[in-house]
Amino acid sequence: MFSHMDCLNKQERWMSKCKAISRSKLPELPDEIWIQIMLKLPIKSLHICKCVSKTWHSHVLHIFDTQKGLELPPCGILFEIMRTPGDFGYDNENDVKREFDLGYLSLGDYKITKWSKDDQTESATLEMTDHQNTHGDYHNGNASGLLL
Amino acid sequence: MASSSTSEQKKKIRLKSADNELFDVDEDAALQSETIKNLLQEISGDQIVPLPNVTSKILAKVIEYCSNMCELDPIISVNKQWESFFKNCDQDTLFDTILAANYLSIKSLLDLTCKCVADMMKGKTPEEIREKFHIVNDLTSEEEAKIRAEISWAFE
Repeated sequence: MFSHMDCLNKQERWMSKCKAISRSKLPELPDEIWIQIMLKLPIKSLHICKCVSKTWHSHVLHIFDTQKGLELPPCGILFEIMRTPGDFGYDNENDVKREFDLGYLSLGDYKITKWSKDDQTESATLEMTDHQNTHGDYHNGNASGLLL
Repeated sequence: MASSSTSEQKKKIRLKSADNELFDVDEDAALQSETIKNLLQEISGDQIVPLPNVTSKILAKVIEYCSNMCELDPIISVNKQWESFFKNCDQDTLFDTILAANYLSIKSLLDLTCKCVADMMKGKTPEEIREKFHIVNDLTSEEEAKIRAEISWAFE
């Protein structure tokens, strides 16, 4: 059934499309400027930029690539991995589903530049830096571990 | 944003915008721009500094900013005023100022304006960001779904 609401929604969508097209084009910022802007974002927003477009996705990857490997002093961060039962081979569940979770503290001051999990050793690695790139940190933790 | 105090014989630099408007600017304000500093070394004495990449509208704002930064008022409060100006101005002005600050190499202004754009992006969804900055999503739906799954924690 074609409802009145559907009609309205369609019309609205069409109108907003027209509006977007008719609006004057924004001045285009070069890639290096977008990267500078992204460097000022907190970690969550930076990751979300990856979903915006192909170009933005590659900008974010570039940021992570160029910033890894900074070895510097620790800062407050909560780092946690949660696993479902059956993880350690003692249980007989067939679906050995693993959950990997990360919680943050003090992320106003720091951002994660890279994180990864090693399935073999069940350890996880986390790299981070502050927004001015003057300090960074590197954490390596065990599964179910907590690093502060 | 207060105008500069009564000047006693301060050296002036004459700048020319893209639309051929002339601006007489205190030397210490103009020298906040690395680009102008370099151009002044190349040209002699009282010549006009041409800035073909900056319109008069934006150049006027940039000069006002640089003059403010030269004053002895606490820079933090001046910076706050400028931050609120850029947050409330239209997006074209903000982007044009970023381009001008980049071309003129005025680091503090570039940092401030980039921060304003970053603040506009904070806490926004990819859709909202695309709409705000008129960005076309050229990721395929598979690619986008994959990226979203990887960073699902960031959407919480």
